[in-house]
Amino acid sequence: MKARIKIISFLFLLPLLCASDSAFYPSGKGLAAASDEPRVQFHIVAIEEKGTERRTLSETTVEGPAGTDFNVELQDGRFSLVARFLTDLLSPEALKVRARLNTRRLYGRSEKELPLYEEDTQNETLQLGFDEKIILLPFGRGGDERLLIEITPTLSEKSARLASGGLRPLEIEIGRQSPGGAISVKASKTPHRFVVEAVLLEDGREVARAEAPYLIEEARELLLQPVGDASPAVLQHPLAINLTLSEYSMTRTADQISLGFDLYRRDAQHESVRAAIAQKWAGIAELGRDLTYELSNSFPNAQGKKYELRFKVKLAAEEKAAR
Amino acid sequence: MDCEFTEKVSLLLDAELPPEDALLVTEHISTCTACRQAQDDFLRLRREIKAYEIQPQPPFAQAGMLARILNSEKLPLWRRSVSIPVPLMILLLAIIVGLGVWAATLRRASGLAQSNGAPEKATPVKALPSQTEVVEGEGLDFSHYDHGERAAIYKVRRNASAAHTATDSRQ
Repeated sequence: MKARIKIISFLFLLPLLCASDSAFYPSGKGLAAASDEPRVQFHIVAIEEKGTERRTLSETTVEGPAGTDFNVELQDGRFSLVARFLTDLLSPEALKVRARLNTRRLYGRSEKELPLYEEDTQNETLQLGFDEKIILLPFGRGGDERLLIEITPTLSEKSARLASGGLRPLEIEIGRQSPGGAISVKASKTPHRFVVEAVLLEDGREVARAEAPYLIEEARELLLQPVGDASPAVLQHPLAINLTLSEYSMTRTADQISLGFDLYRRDAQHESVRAAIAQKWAGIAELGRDLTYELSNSFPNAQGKKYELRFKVKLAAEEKAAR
Repeated sequence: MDCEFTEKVSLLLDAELPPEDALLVTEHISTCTACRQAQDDFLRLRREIKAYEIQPQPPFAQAGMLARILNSEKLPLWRRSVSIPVPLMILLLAIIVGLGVWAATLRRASGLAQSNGAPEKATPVKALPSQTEVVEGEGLDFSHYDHGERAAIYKVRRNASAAHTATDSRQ
């Protein structure tokens, strides 16, 4: 009798156990997809290709929060490559990868026996799906024997948070080290997304403003719109700022970021007409604090009024959430 | 020559061994490489001495000749000497000293021109071919991949074949 009850109970529970398997033991992928803090993994493999033969020289995996950046570096006696990759997760299916390739090649020697180098810089932006991979050819496409670096992104299955509740740090796993460390990979995680607020002050009063989201190391134009009782000079000639943020640094008492900009005066009647007021201006802003530039000497038709341009750079909401 | 019979080989060749010993040594030579080599050497030496005996020489000259034959192995380069007539030697020394003085004068003149602030003559840059400039580094040597081309970057579908360039999709 007892055995029969056990068998019936087991048969009753069996479908429940099968059905609830995914609920009790959700796959990592499910976790990652459900998480608001996705993590991305980059599998970086250096391969020597001779005809149809392929030989793996080095293998590294970088795993970290969305927005993890990494460098792939090659170095021998006469050639060096620093390939910097800034990555941003655009959606659960797509990444934006901004690559900057700096190469330096010993070209020969001068009459004075000084070394001559051939240097090159390239910037490429790739929109990348998770069913795609990046191919980097440090020495170009030619030749029977070539070196290629494959970078394959995947959504990580690791949870964003540790058991303690803290953010899981980024991880670098070296599967195979290249001989002599000639190929190396570095990775880091710094904020990429910011909001920039720009305000034009006339004798201390706000007369024009603009606010826009910014991605680090990507130029974007801010168009200041007149507000309140702006003077005719401001109304007829609104300002445009071509601004780039770069070099985020974590410091006390507040984190800092470099900004560089060109300032133009537009013609309200003719959009295409612009006159430069300031070019290649730069500064270092503390996050959340004002950075002010005196414009009185540069501003046309100032007529004795004091003009100031005030910036405030803040972390974007998604960056705050990920801290 | 580390066989105990080697000395008897010489006696055998000089017919100074009793018949029993001679037979024993002869049999031994047929099986011992060292003694066979010694026999060959003794016979060769004897032939060479006989060849010199054709011309009558004073005893001391014969002894010297014999010593030369016995030491006829090749001398190493550092032990060899060359005899040069004294006038030729003086001439060679004079040429070497003259070249040294001429090089020093040239260098001094060049240094003076630079220290006086004279504008350095612009020399065209001579770029040697990169193949000749390989500097050995540790680890991988990338020179066999390098054909002077510019680096390239692109994306491909993950299941794309090794012929990546066919599906090149540069942004």
